[in-house]
Amino acid sequence: METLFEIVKYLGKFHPLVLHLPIGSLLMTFLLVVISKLQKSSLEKAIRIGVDFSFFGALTATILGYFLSLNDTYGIENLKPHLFAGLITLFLTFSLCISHRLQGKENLFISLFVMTLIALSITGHKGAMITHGEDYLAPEAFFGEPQIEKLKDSIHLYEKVVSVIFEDKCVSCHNASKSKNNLRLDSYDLMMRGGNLGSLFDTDQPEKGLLVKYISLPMEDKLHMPPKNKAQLSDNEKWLLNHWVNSGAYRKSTYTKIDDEDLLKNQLISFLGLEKKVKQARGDVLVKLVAMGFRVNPNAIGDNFLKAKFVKTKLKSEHIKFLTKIKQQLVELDLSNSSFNDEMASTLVDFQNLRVLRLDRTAISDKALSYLYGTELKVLNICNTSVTFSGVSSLLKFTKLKKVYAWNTAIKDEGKTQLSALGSGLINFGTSNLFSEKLSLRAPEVNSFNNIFDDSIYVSFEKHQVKNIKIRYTTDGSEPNKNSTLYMDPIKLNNSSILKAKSIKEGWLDSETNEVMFFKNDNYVIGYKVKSKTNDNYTISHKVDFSFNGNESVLFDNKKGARVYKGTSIEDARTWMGFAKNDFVAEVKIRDSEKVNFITLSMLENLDMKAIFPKRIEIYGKSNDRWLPINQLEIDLQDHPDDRKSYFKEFTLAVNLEGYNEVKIVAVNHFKFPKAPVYDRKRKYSWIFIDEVIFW
Amino acid sequence: MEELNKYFLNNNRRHFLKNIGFGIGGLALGSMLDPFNLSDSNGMSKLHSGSLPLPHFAPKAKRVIYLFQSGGPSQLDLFDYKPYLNKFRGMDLPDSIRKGQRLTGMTSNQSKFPVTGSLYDFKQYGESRAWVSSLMPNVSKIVDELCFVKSMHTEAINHDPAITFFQTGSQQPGRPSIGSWMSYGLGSLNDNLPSFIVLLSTGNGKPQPQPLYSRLWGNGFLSSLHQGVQFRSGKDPVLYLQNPEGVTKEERRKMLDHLAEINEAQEKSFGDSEISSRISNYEMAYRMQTSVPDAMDISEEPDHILRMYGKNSYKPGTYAANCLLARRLIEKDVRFVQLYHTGWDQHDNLPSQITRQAEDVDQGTAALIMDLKQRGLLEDTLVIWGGEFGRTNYCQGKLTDIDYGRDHHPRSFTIFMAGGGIKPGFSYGETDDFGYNIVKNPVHVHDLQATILNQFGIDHERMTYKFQGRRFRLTDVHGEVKKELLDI
Repeated sequence: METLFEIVKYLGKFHPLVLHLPIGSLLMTFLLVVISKLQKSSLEKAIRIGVDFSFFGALTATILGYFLSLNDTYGIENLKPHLFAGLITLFLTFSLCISHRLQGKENLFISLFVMTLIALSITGHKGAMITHGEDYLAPEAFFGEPQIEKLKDSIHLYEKVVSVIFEDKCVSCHNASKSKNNLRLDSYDLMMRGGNLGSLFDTDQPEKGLLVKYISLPMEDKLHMPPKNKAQLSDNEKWLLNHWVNSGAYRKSTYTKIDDEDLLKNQLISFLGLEKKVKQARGDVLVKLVAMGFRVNPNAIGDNFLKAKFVKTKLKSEHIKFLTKIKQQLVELDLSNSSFNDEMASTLVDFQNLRVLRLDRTAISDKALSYLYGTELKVLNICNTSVTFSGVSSLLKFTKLKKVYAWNTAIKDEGKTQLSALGSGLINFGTSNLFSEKLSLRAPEVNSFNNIFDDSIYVSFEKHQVKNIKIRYTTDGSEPNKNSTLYMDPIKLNNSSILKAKSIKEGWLDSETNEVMFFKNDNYVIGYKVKSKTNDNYTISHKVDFSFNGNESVLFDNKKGARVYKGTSIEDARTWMGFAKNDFVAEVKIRDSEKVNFITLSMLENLDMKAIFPKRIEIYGKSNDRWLPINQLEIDLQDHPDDRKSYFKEFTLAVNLEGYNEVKIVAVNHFKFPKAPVYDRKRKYSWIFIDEVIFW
Repeated sequence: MEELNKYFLNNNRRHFLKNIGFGIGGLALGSMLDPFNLSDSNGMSKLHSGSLPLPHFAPKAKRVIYLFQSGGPSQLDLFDYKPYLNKFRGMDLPDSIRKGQRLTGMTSNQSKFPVTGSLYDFKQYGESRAWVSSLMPNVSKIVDELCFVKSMHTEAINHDPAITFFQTGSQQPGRPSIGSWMSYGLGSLNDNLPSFIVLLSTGNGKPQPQPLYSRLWGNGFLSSLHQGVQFRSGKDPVLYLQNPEGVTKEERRKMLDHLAEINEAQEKSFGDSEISSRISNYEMAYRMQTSVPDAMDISEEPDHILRMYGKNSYKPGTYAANCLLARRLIEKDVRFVQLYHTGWDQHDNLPSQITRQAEDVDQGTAALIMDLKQRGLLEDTLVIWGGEFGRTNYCQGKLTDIDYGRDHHPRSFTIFMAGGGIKPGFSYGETDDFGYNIVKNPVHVHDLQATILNQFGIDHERMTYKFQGRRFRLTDVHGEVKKELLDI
């Protein structure tokens, strides 16, 4: 019996299919009737078949309709009008079959036919209302300007939310005819009664009540509700049910206040689908906005809301006026860094859906803020404007802003304190001084690397990254201070000199002093011989080897080498001389030796390149075929050389060469990497790198 | 069929642009907002320059700064405080904790795994009472802006696969980077700069850090329009961008117009969409000739901002300078700015190395986040700080009183995020007393990626690209949005 009933109910589902048969055939038959009238040709046979077929169709549809009503999805009350109209249609169709068989009652037949069609329309309409809802064809849904519904200050949670969820997802098993576990969820009182397992709610510990417990069980759990194969609760619905229980709102079927407590409000908005009903903006309007310089982005696919940013700078009031064409759709507007001003601000009032507004770096004052009173703005950016305390504090009074960014405004310190007290995180004044400490400037860098010149040289400094820096310098070897010469134009040097320079700026620590030597080439060297061998191949980068053989001239060519590093080109590397396994030894013939005061060796250290400054530099002079020591310089290891960095350094020794024509220069190699921590590399031997030997 | 339709659509669009006389200049407008598509009935869905009908839902964030800490920062010396390890310093790590975790070739020969705590003082900071070590004095001042995820875990244990995994969702190279996905899905917010920009800096922590490959910011199978563009420090931020000597701007313009004509003819006959990508790339490069120098010139920055970012902010190529640049790029609405800072790979000499390494990033990171905040940019900019994996709780090499090293550890590590709708002042997830395994709320790399995409209104399961017959996702077939991390 049970199965038969199920089969019958199942058959009922074919009602929506079969009902189209009589509709079609009745209309077709009526058409035949009209044609036979107009063309005076007899189609009686076809009409007879038509009405008979229609009757059987209508009969089947009616029976199946009855079966469907047994499913009890719709409630018998809603079905009644459809049922009556359907029965009348059936009866009328039957009368058509009869009247067509009667002779000479043609007029009766036609008027009955018209009545049948009217009844049919009514039946169809009532039926459609059941399946598609009342306002399916209501014209305002299509053509009217949709009204934005707003959430009011309170809501009847049970009526508007809970019962709707129950109706949607639960009632099909918990109702009058089918109440699983004796639980019924089709009315508030019945629900409060609970079922076989007891009350749905736990008054002491709301979160342990059966309702919230079962809906939050994992899907695999047998007790999970709704059951696995049924439509599940959405996250939003679960949240609302949980909230309804946990907040205790379930206790009474009454109104709940909605504070600006965002969570509930947001969840309600998304559940009720409120504030989402705006019309799509017109395409031509958007194209024009883009041409004006607005970037328009959708908020999310399907909600028709828009975000706009003015990406140019010259904003005109007609731009803003035109923007009002999407005032319904606009939720976010960015006018930062444009020529927006107080006058244009009066239009902002129209944008009732605007939530985020950026007006930073514009020429607005308090007046612009006054146009925002009463709006629903949540986030406002007024950084770098000239708004003041009074403007912002009254704005906060008349709006429900959640966040205001007001860094770099005309608000004074005491104003900031007062405003900050209104709520934590509500208003932001910036944090620039959270980490600020006095920093030292970088020492000025000389532009040219080559510091050997013939007659004179112009020296300039690189641009410092910090602006408005003053560079002060000396050329006499003294330490520069704030009274030293100010660098304006390239410095002209006529003689060998030490240039010492510092960067200075108010509010900063002075930079370290940068010392650069400039050597005037007096052509003291008349001949040279490099005694040490450079047989070893040098690897400048992976699998790129070369030899320094025959490269000795670079030491005395009055040109500095290139700024080399690991991986430099061979060409650049060969502007240097490198020595491994040997000390550097060179014998140099000079003239005017009494004029020479210093000998300078320009050298390189770069651990990656295995280049280390020598241990010691020794100078000898030749007298009677014997080399007599003149001066020597011990070189300490560097403090903490950075592995990858090239350190270029000049080592200068004071000499008195009076009476010597030949000088020997020795740079003593470490040979192996020194034992100091940073140097301690498992490499075979170290190199000495020299690019120039200078007598001056 | 779908491909064919796309092809016809391409043609239409091109003709449209041509016919209304926009010429090439129209491409800029076209990428900003496609007027052709707007005139149809569902124009709304095309109201952006991305390739997909996005966002799926209202986004919280518009832009990302990903501060990638390459090498694997030691969570145990920075954020994950484990006093237990100090108490039992030198104890061999029990097998019950290690549970057969795969080891790298660097410690697989070690017979013992002596655990070691941190040499650095940990304290709780801010209202959120977040733990931070003394290595990060500036970050500790801003913890109430940060969301720490202490339960990140990954599958890879070596640098390159691990970084590739974080950036592309796959350990094997070849997939698009997350920035490329974002550019593909959401499109650009600025027509004069690429939507995905990469800045590199070298840490002082490790003498020879692991290298980074440009494929980490590659577009994979997506159009080359979406590849990351590396900006260098110094005079030439983008290589070969400036006109060669003797070529004027007008000549360049003419040359590009002619080139575009030829390219378009080629595209017409072949219909390869890479050709139109190429045209757009040329146009982008042309616009970048003015926009890039402008973006990279920090001389407009007032002194107090430079001071905020610290002494390296005016030293080009450093992490702090890159942080400052990142903010400038974000202000110009670049969608995705990716920084990589190398040198976190402290296998030995950890104390001396990590001190320098942390100093590199501490002030720049903190300043960047607070600078974004004061400008109101943190509202819709997501900042992510983190490496490709963590470091072990046991010592690699010799454990002495003042020295230790740590190997790679994929099972648990810490990252942090700020802004972009992520819950501030919050710590999520927990590791055990050994700091080895996660005991609460694990977050997998794919979960993080899904969560990041979620902040941009993207359902990570629905943003796909069909390639070689398969639909690819950033999160492959995994990933779950970690709702607990979101600020609702």
